[in-house]
Amino acid sequence: MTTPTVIQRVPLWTWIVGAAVLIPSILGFANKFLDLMIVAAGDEEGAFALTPIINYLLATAGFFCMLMWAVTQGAFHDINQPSRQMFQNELDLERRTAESLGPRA
Amino acid sequence: MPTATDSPRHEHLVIERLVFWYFAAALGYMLISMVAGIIMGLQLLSWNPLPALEHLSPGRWRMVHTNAIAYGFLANGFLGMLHWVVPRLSLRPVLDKRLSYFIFAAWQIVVLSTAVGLILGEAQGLEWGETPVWIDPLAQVGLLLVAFDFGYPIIKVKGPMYVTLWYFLAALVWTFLTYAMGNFIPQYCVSGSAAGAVGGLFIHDLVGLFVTPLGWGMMYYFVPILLKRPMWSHGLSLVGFWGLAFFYPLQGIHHFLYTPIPMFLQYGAVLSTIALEFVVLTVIINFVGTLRGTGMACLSNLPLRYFYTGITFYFLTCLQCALQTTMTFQALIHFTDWVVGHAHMVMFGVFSMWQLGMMVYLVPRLLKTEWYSEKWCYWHYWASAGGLCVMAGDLILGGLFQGWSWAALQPWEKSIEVSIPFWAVRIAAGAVMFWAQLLFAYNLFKTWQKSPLRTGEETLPHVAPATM
Repeated sequence: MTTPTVIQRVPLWTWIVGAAVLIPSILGFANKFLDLMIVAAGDEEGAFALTPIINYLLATAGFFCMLMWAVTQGAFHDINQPSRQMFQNELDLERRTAESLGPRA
Repeated sequence: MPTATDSPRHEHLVIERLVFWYFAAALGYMLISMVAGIIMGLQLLSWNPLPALEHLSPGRWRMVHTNAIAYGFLANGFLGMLHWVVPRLSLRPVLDKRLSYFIFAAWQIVVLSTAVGLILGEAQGLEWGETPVWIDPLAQVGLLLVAFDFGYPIIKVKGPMYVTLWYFLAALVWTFLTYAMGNFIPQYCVSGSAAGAVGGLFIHDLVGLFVTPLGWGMMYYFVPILLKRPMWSHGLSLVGFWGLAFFYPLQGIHHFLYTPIPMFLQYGAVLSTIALEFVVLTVIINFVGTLRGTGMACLSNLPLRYFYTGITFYFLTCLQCALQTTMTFQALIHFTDWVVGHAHMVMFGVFSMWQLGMMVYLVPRLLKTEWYSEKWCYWHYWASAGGLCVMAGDLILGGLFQGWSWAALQPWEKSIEVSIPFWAVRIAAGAVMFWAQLLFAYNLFKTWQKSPLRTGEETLPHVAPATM
């Protein structure tokens, strides 16, 4: 017997908050990206600004790929599971160490 | 995440002797750094005890002060911590124990060579990256070996990783890249303002992408263990990690406001700094939330007291950072002692306090005996935290007076006169902090002397996690 899949609806306020954050952010980013293009296409003295920008984009691109990889690996399915597991592992390690070394001095 | 039920025991995972060696080396460099800081402080009061020796001139001592704390104390402390935490979290030993011993020896050679190079006047022209150019390739290879040694057990972890491992994995990559960016690009690839911009990125990324992820990763490991409960929200922990990953790399330019660097880059750095403050807030909320229902554990448990003192300082420094990167505020405090106070609060108040707290917790477990004097540990805490409060408050206030003096277009000498009392208080606070570290080092030595590991007792006791 299969259990029916429950699809949770995203609350309306989530969409509203998401839009309130994302729209100005995207507009701001586009505006600044345009600035960057103008500088890059402009005089030679201004083009040096590309160095830190490229540094940033390279670093961010790497971490964006890692984020996507984490998503595909299911890292965000049961988000508190690693925390509970780590805590349990520590308790087990402590218990085994105490057993192997004998009573406390 | 692996389980411990069918995994090796602690003694097969952790090279405890190496962890202790790293801690001992770290404390040695801390003392060297503080001697250099005190000599520099005396110089500001015109009491330079070494006036006629070019090799020990204040400019060189100052670089020894900063490099010894970053690469000597913090790096050694973190490497020791990684040797304890990574194998216990991943339930796998490091890549190769012989490699670990080699890295320990190689890193001490790098740090000592740096000190000698600085004293001989071979510093590279990059703040916080003064390591002589002939050491840079060695340090770079060393960082690569560190990444292999600790990265191997982390990438072998199956399934979702605990947030500490995310931080450590990122730190291993970031530190390697940051060191390369700062030490090679301005030296060999670009010049002028472009080199200045990269230098700005390097200074801040050294704090944000080397020290910060290792420090927070350490907190996410030790705090739940000491509080005997998991973190309040692992989801918020991940928000903190990914927020750091995306916002931090652009911040460095905020060290170069009002420079020829294009304004859109400067504003970008200001905005990302302020945005990161919100991320920091989620981290602080998570750690305060984890305290809920534990009573006064963060006060009664000494290691936790160090940790939460550092967390409080971290919040204050980030709040300060968000304020001081605004253009109006920056105009007042640029080049003043405010920045020096801020730097001391970050490096000592946050990361050194965390590392010292970790040592208070781990040393009895490494040496299989209680501290020689627990009372001295309390003295160490109060003298370190109290001394830093006085020093940071004093420098921050003094910086404001300097800034107002310059803004009023008073002669330069006037701002020096205004600064003298603040510099006097700074040296007194520094002396108290130095005394505290001497006491801590002596306590560590006496604890080592009474350790059953040294006396050769056959049955080693299990020393439970510290609750003092």
